[in-house]
Amino acid sequence: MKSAFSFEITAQGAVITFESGISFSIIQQELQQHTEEAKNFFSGVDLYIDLADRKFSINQIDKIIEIVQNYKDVKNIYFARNHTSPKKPTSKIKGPQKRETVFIKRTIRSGQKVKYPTNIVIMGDVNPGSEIIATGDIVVIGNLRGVVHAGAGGYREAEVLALHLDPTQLRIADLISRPPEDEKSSKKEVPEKAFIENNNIVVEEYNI
Amino acid sequence: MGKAIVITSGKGGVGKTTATANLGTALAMRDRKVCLIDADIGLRNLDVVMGLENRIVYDIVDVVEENCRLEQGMIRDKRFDDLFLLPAAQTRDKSAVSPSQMKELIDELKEEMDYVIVDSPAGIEQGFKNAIAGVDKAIIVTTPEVSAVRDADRIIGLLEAEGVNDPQVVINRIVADMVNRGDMMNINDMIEILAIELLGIVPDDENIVVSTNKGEPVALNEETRAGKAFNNIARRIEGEDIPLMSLEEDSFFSKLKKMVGLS
Repeated sequence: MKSAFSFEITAQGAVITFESGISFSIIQQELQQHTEEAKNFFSGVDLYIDLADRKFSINQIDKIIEIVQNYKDVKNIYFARNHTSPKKPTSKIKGPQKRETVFIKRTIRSGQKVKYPTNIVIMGDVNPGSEIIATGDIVVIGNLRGVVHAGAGGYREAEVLALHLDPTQLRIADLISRPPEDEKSSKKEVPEKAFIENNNIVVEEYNI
Repeated sequence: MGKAIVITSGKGGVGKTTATANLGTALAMRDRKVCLIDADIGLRNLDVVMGLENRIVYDIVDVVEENCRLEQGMIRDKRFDDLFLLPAAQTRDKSAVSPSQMKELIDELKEEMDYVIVDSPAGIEQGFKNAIAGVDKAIIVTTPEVSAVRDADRIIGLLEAEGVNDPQVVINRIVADMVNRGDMMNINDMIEILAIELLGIVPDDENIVVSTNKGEPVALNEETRAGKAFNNIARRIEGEDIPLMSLEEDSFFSKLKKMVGLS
């Protein structure tokens, strides 16, 4: 499902961007829902609202202001247009250093942490309670059930690929995602790949 | 100003983490503001029992090393707005935190919270010393086994030496049938050995295994015997005078016995 808005965390705060082509009533409804479910989402940070290329009427903006005020403990709320909000300069963010890849041929167990400024390939399982951190891509030839962070340092092109992708938490660059609460761990025994698309982490089947 | 309570036992596997999760939940159900701290650095479990594992971004070590603010380390519970978890780090060990850092952290949390409940690791080494630093009160969890009672006794002595006085005991995993047959230590014998106040008893209950695996504390469901027991204990912590629950199962058979006036 395409969400009516997306979040991005920058060095200065959080940015909400409204997607184009979605009706105001849906935006209003989803935003309302988010403030109810996650009212502390923006605690202690500045919140930038990016109206993107959409036109909003004064009434609609009033409505948005009214809803976002339900977020608790937000520092300041700003309106910004077309990502005029302060962002980290993308030129500084590099992928893996020297495009190197580290191969690890064993199971990574709970409490073990693997961290390299490269791509990482693991031939084995990554168990819950373990952590894999790479500045580049992460490939797991086995079951991925722990916490992984690809593109650590801000490389948004990074990808995570596993024969069985069922992570506790999956992070790419500055985005964090976790599996939905209501679903049982995915029974799909097909390789899957996670990457960033439109500011969201998406997972899709990977055909070898 | 809140109260800091450590849940400890000496012996492993007696139900410290289960007790922490359930007492925290039961107190939150009574609208108290509660923060649970997992002091078992390197072997964390409380996050799993609470069903919050996949929300961890920062942990207690990040907080004391100032990689993040305290509020960033605290995970809000899924079910209660006023229940928080400060998870342990999994990839570090007990030496990552010192007792004085723990004390500082607990003092800060006590200003905000009604209760700060610290889940202690098994053992009597540094992890235990961290867990008892800065607490006002101790609850000792034990089971009706000679080894668990022996370890509980040792812990009571260590707590006294550290100036944590008047601990209370929770006896966990009691099987009524075995006590009745005389195959399990009975409550009075245990209290006589430990010579401390009994805070509550918790019957052995299969629901605990189910709830632990699901990440939903059993205290949420007062229909279960263990859930009711933990809620009773929470009420006693709150100062209410609640009688100990009877160990007899309300089975069809015992109800029938009551009806025909046999018991």
